[in-house]
Amino acid sequence: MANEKKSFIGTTGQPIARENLRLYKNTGTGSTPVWAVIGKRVQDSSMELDWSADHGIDILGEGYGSLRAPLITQQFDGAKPIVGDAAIEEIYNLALVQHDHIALSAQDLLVEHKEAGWAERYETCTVEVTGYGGEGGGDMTMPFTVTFGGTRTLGTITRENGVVTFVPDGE
Amino acid sequence: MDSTSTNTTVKKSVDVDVQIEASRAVRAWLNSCPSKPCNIGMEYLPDDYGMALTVTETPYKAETYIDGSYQVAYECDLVYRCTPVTDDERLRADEDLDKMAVWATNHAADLQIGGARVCRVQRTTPALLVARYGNGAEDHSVHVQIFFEVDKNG
Repeated sequence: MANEKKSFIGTTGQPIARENLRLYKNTGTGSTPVWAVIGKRVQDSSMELDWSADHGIDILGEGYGSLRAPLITQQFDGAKPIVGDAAIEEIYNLALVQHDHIALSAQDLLVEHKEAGWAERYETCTVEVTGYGGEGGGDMTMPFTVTFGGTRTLGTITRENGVVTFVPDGE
Repeated sequence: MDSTSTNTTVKKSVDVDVQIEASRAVRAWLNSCPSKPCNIGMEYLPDDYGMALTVTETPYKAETYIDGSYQVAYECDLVYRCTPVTDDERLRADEDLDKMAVWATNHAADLQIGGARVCRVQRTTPALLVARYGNGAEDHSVHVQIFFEVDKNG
């Protein structure tokens, strides 16, 4: 079921390694997705959840708080164009070559949570490239920010011969 | 204040098999240098003449990426043992080592360490005399850093 609780996979007491969280970009079509991983050679990146929290003290002197559905973003400040990296190459073309703001506002992304064996697909995300260049003598950098949005589908990921397939819950 | 706290970052060592594979590959690659004075051994040097590769620090992860891949820093000395009699011969020994280090810097793409991608090779010291022995033998050494990436995505 879509909202079924998840359990961490691993040895009791063992912390979860960062590489269990992966982000993929659809470089195919909506009906025939081809998932390419995002984040090669990125050392630090996290999903940031903004719950639009509202807190206060009521007339009874009691504290209260309320949250909204989270707006989730993720920054890739250390992203670099890499030859053969399909996801980055597509983002590069949309942002730098074509200036296609419409397409960049409707990106199909997949988040893999290997730590608990599930995945979530967001079909209308924005990918905002915020820079292109870097230090002399170093690698070219292309930082960008992802804002997850659109239809959210939970499921699992299967792999065969290195090909990632998203299987929605219930299928 | 916690007396046990420290601001230094602990270097994470790589697996032993990565270290051994890298040493084998680096030694074979250095032995392909056309200007080498003689064959390069691993750690061991004969009493009066020879060359050897020595690992100066346990290879460590210089950078770790969010997909589990990492960049390894492999630090080594290339040692040249010889018996120079004059300062000119001594300088020639340093020159031979420096030439090899420059060759290494320019031929990083020829180094094959398993399936890893070699990022860069850099010399961090000039060649210099580091030891002298009673039989007149001298060790000249140059320090080299090799950075290569281990891709965990397969």
